[in-house]
Amino acid sequence: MPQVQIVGLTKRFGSIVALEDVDLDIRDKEYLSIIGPSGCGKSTLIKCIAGIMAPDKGKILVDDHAIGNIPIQHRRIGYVFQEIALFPHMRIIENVSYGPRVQGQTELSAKALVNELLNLIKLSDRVNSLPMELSGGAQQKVAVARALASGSALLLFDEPFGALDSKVRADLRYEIRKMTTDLGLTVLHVTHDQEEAMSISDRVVVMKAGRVIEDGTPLQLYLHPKMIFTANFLGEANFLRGRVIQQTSTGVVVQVEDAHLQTIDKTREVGQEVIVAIRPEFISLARGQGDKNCLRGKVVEIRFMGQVVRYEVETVGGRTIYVEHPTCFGELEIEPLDEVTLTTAPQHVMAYSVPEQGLEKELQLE
Amino acid sequence: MDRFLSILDRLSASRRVSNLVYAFSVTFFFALVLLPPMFGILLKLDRAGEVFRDPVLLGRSWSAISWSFILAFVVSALDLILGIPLAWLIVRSNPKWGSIVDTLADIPFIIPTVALGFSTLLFWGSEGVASLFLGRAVLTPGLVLVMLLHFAFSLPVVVRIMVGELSGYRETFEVAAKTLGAEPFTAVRTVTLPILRPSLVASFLLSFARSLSETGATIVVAGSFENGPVFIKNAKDAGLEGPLSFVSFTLIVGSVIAFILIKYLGPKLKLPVSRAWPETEKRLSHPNAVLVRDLTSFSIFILIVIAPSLFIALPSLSALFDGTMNEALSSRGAWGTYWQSMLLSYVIGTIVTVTNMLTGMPMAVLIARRRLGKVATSMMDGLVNIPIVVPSVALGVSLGSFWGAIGVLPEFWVLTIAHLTITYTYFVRAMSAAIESVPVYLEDTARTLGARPLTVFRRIILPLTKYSLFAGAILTFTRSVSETGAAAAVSEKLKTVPVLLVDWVKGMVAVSRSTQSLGVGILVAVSFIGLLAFRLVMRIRR
Amino acid sequence: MPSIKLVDIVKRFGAITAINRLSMEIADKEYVCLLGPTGSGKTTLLRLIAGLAIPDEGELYIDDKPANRMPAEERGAVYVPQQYALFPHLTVLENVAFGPLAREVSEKEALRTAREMLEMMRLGHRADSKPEELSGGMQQRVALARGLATKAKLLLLDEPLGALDARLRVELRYKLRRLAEESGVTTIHVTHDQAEATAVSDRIAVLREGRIRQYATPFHVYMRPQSLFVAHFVGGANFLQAVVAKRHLEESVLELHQGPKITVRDTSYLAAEEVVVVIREDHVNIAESADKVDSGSYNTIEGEIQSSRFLGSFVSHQIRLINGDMVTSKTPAQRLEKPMPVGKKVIVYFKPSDALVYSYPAIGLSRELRVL
Repeated sequence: MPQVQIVGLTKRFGSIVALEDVDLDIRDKEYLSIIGPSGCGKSTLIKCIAGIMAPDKGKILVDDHAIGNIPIQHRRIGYVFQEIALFPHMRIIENVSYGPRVQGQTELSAKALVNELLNLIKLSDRVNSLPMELSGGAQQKVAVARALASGSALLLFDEPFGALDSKVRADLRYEIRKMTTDLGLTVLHVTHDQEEAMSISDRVVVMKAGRVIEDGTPLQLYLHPKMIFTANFLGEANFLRGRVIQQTSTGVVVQVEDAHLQTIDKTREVGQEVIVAIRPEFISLARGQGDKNCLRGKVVEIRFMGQVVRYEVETVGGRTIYVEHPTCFGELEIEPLDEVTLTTAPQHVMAYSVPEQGLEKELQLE
Repeated sequence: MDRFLSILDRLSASRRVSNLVYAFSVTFFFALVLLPPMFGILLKLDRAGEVFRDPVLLGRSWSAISWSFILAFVVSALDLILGIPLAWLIVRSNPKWGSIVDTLADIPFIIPTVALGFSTLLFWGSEGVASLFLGRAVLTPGLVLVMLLHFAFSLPVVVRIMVGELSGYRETFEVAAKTLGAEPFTAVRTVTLPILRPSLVASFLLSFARSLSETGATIVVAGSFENGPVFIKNAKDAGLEGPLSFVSFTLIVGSVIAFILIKYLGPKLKLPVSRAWPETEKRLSHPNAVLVRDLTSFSIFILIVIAPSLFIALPSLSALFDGTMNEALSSRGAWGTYWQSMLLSYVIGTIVTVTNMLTGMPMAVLIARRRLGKVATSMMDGLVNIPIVVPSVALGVSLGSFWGAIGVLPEFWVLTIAHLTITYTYFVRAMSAAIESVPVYLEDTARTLGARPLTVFRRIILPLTKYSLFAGAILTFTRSVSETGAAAAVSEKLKTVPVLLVDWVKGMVAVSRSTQSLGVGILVAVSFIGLLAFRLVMRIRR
Repeated sequence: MPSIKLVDIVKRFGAITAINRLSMEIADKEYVCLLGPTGSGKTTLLRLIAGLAIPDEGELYIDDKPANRMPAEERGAVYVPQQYALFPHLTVLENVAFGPLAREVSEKEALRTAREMLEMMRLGHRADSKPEELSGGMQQRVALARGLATKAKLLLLDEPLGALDARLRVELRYKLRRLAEESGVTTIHVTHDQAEATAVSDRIAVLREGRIRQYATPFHVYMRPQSLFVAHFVGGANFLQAVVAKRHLEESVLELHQGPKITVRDTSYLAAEEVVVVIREDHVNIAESADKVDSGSYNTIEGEIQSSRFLGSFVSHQIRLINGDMVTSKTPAQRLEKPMPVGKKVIVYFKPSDALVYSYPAIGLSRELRVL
């Protein structure tokens, strides 16, 4: 029953700080994703857990045992690489049975487990193929089976779908998630793809510049992100600068241009400058001049995006706001250059303090 | 200059012009490098047949040929056995010790082989270090000494190739094996080595070719033992043209066959990867075991390879102070010929290097970019390798017979062509490997940005391969200066330095031990300058 | 006046036919995406247009001039590979000036143009850096600046966003589109990501195995896919096997597995014909009970929730219908913030006009949809 505890993990490469005092808990049988921009330290973190890298400071505990001094081959932690790393000179069956064989088992005794796993990933008919004869998606499934065959109950995924086409990626993630759930495994999944992380994880951890910024369930992080970086990284958001003008029983009211936006945030002071974040899908558009207290603007561009139609609106104050309207709700009778009003529900207006280093730097993705 | 370049540039855009350049390069290769030796053999086929009339000579010939191949095979296997752990030491173990070994490993490669031979002879002989402890020679000229010598000078080939492969090797596979529970030793045995098998085969092949081909050093330490090159030299000195041609011919054919066999069967060799012995391999992976392994390889390396190679420094240095140096500087006696030979060697070396660079560059591009299509390119690649596959002395013999039959060329030019043939492969291989490592998409993009072929070459390929260019040139030059076999086969009156030194050491010209040592020592010293230049260039690249 | 025209192009590599009799036209200043799975021939097609490969058969016209044998350096078509191909031994400024210099523009003029381009990309301050010192997004901008500096009229981008993080990809694709518009160039953009293609292009060419399956605006490709493969590859869809039960003038009744019947507007199939019904995931709705749905305007089928996925602006549910078929339903966050619990009995409903009908493929449905 592997549960993992990471305490104060620090790792530097010369002057570059890859990990800075990272604390993390992973519960037994949990599927946890770590997301963040390139260079945020997520790969370094799981490499330290696997033993591929050694941290400068901190402790890693698996089931309350410190594993810092144990070499890779004795940690019993499965690892799936972005580059897939199936042994090119071995057939599929030899790849999957590698773990049991190097641990001393004979091919015969490992056979039952190996066949069961190959059945699970539906590749029993390719046992004698070489890795290069399989598609990328199939290869990665074999890599997962191989990690499982070696007897690990804890799996680390290092951007496992990075090398695959987006369509294959989308299908594969659900298949692998189902497999790990059925087998009762604990999984730590590193990715830069927030949609991937949100759609399959129990919990998501957001990292930036070597630190953990925030963690929570996908729902929590998407609808009520505590940090402004999370609001921008997990899905899109419009960021508007405003000032708190009133406190009500539900939350503060923020003035942005002429609009008074009601929020459910009760922590702000009147007069405070804040940045308000609103997701494009939570803004409603209506034609006409509308209520004086609404955000108003002019439609600049309309783009069909498949499941949504994306409107670019320039407000009277010169800001650009993006609105997404689901196509299945039917067409809005709005054309470019139309004047529109933008409204949104209070629970979708997220307020944040103005970042010290400025908004652009705070949200920087690379 | 700019105007000139832009005219050339515009010309290069024309398909006809670029085809002409490639055609010239290919024709040069066939006309001067590949075909003359082939024809040379054919011309002497009837003389070669003479040997069948003399059973004693025939027996001696076959014995020499067989020993060449047996020796090459055994030595190459031994080179792999020591070379792999050494390569590991350099790349994976302690970086400080690693770089010392790395530098030392080049020495037997850069020192002209005749010097290696002489140094080894002295080291194990009655005047050497060994005799200090035993009072007599440990090893006298003969098979064992030849084996040790071949082992020593072929080792750098293996180490260089394996170090290059290991440095660029993606450790991901090994790490993956460890996450699956494999001990480090097991991971290397079952995953890394099988994946690196092509380089293992390539190292074996190159080592094999070097052992087959080497003449100068072997003659010095052979004593009464005869392998192919020794026999050929002896036969030449004795005027036995028939057996000489026979052995040359058989060596050429045999080496090409052996090469093809190893190249195609080698990769099929199955390495044992299905079983593992966790307890034993865990112990073998232990840092102490690794230390023992490193120390053992290092000791063998120093004792059998480095010490004998560098031993010549001692007698040379003492010759500096005992008056021999003055003789040398005043060109008295044998020294007159020495300096002439030096001059000859370096002039030939320069001509050969420049010619190879100019004519080999288009060939390198042809091969690296597969401009002739997949099949024709691999054929061309194979053909270009023939001069290093075939023993140089045999090549020299057939070249000599070809140009001798034509009769127009003076000895100097035949000698130059012989050196050109031997070194052609080095430059082309170095450049084609370098060009291959420049991603094609850089060229593609440059072209679509409006650059014509010559501009692409000048502004993209050359800057990105210039270090390999220098390294290739240095390699070509040092190889040319070091060449003994072909030079010995071709020369009548003109002697290059290695050929002269063989005469000195074998007593064909009566000189004192001091003179011999100093003569060899000066050659080594000058070659070291080449080695340093090579290392400097490689370091800048890194 | 079309900028690029391809007529019956064939390209083979040994036994493999990478491009199989392909024809298309791209108008001046148009932004076209070549969309398809790996191996569909899109990169080969791009390279043919760039002049880096020569077609075995067929004709290529650039601005109405026959271009089959026109050398790459004369086409005015800049090729930017996925790795950006910045010359590692040159600085950013020298990279951008490369094109003009190769065309024998004076050095002073070339550098001036290069600086202007860099300023436009807001990278003027990195002019003297080496490419390896720049982040992925910056390298991409330098590659684009370098291409535009040659005053090329045609931009050929091979997976331009492929090397970037997902979030960055989304952010930069709009900027890419805007840049192409402002520079007035014709752009051909290769990608395997259909969301990306839909977001940026004027028209999408969906490729499979060297042929164009559909070449139309994102709207048409999404709403009126011409084949099962296009429906599957662009946006998510549900595929249900059915047989035509009754055929009327304005509508047909189809019978799904095990009996449930649905109405569709497509009447082109005859009775007893085997068909496949395609319904986009976001056109499949869920209601908690039957009385919440107007069964006159919608098809309704009972089902049970098997699993759900939170996708941010959408929630998706996997539902097992009463007849055993599995469908996926995507609901916008505005309507449903939190996923429904597993095991809940629901009513699945959709409009007859949202159900697209296709003949059942001869090679079987799963093989037809295979994205490999």
